Amino acid sequence: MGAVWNILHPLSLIAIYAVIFGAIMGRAMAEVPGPFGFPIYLCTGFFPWVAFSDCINRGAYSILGNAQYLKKLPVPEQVFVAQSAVGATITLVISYVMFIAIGLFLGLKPSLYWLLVPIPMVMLQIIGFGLGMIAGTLNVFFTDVSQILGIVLQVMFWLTPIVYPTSRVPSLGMVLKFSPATPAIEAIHDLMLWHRLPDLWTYPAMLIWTVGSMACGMWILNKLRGEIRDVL
Amino acid sequence: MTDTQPLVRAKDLSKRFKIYPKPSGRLVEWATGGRAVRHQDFWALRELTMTLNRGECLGIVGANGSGKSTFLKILAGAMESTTGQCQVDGRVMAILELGTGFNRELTGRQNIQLSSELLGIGGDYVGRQMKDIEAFASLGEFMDRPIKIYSSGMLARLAFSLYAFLEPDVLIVDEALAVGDIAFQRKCYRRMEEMVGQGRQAVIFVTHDLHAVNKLCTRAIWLRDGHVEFEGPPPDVVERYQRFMLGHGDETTPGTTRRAAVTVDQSGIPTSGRLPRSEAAVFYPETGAEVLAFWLENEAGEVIQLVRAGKAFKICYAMRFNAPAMQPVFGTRVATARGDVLIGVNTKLANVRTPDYAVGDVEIVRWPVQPGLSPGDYFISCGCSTFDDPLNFLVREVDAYRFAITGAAPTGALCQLTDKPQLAGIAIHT
Repeated sequence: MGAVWNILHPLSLIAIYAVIFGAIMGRAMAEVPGPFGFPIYLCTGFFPWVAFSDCINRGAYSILGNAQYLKKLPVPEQVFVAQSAVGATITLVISYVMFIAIGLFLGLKPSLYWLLVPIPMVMLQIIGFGLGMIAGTLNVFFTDVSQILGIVLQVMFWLTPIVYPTSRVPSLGMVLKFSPATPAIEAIHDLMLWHRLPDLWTYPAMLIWTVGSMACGMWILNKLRGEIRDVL
Repeated sequence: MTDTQPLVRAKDLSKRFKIYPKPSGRLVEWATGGRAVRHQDFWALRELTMTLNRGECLGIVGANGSGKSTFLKILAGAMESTTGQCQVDGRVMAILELGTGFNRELTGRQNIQLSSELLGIGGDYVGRQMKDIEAFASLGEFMDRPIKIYSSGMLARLAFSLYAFLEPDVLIVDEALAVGDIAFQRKCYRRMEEMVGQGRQAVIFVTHDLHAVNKLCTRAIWLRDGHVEFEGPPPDVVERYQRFMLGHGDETTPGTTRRAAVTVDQSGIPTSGRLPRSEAAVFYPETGAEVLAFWLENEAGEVIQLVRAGKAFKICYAMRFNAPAMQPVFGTRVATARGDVLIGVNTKLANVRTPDYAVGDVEIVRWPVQPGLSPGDYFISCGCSTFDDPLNFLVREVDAYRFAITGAAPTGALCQLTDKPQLAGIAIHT
């Protein structure tokens, strides 16, 4: 079935989260109007998150997994990291289109603000690409990186307002702001659900994460590029 | 196109590999900014300098671990050198080991497309060349099957066909042809000659088949411990390399046939300059006799290590008997590395009567060999059996000694005729 799995996988996860948390928190929610407020809120942030974590996870293996090419051809390493990132982004576009199509029937209200959604989405993917380069490079030298990555991504997921809205956890407010995905996910929430421009703090935060992770990724990769092919 | 600039210029190329006994050592070095050293250096290349011009076929020979593959990877851009420069004016394509950058799940045709894309070659161009590539590879229906079911020979066919027809400026062929069948090897050699012959492209050919180096290459380099040990016309390089590999490298001077300072003990057995035991040797646990020494002599009776093509020589060995033997049969055999037996003789077949031997007796046997064997590496076996049963061995050593015949090979044949052909001009009246 190939590409179909790319859709089925996030769909099944959404179904699980929607059912379990729907049972705990209720299907409707105060922040989002309509009887299916919670599943809609969940999907809005969940699909971009899946694409983001895919960027990092697949990026972590992209250099190691393409050793057969890298050992023999003069191809720059970031090509394979970018390949993972582009793949994850394409899946995101498909799943988001599906989500919007279904969501419109379940009470998702369209708005012109939606036209701005690609901006935080693409920035989130670029952050993922940058972090993927870091993970991918380090993974060549230390095999433990992929294990550590699993834990880090779990923590990051729960420290990003995806399953719950920020307003429900006022005590965690400051902590959430430091998660790399939070500014972009919050911006997407604002544009998609609340039809307003994102909070002012998210702009510099997104920019810092985007530039920072790309600069960091390129720096580490360039620093270790020579050694990568010696080790592969 | 007449291009006087060398196509490839490598200058003082060195490559260091850092060997970390423990992976955490790297972390320690990073954390301390390199002040704490946790690795050992391994220099695979040491100040290698070479050039390559268009229209050249450069042979590279060298023992395993001499830096050949590292050098080629740097040349192909798949690895960075630690110091030194390597400039290439054009596109390098390298068949490094087998299945260069192929994806096992894709078909041969898809792999051709993928590989060319990774090399930055447009799909149109590959599409136009596809017919030629397909015809050259002659893989038939396997072209459209996943390459995971290919044999290694079929992979070599695919790889060579792909790279030879994408018109690289430099084509690097690294041992990849060794697994192809003979017919395909011939085709590849012809293609390489064509590429070089037009004077626009260059080929770098790395192989352990020294015969092929002599035949194909216009120039050769011998790599040893990561630097160019010797460079020149292929026959000279091959001869020096062979001599080195046979264990006499340090005593030679270029261009002269070596006369070893051989001392002979009172029984006539040389005490130096003997042939070394080969790695391929098989010794049988017979105890009736033992081989004391094995050597080669030229026509003048001097001990030699290398035989020049076109010269007669003698295969000699000394055997000591550890049990009494009644008219035993001495035999010897010369075979190529591939196992073709070229000479197989024994004293019984030659109608030579041997005496009886007591314990401790030593016999020296000399087998004269006429000129005619082609240049190459040869393995000698020797043995001694009882008169009645040729399979009842007193001593038996198979492929135990190795020697080489040097010189340029006019053809790939195993033997040459030493006399001139005769023409009997027949006049035809019309």
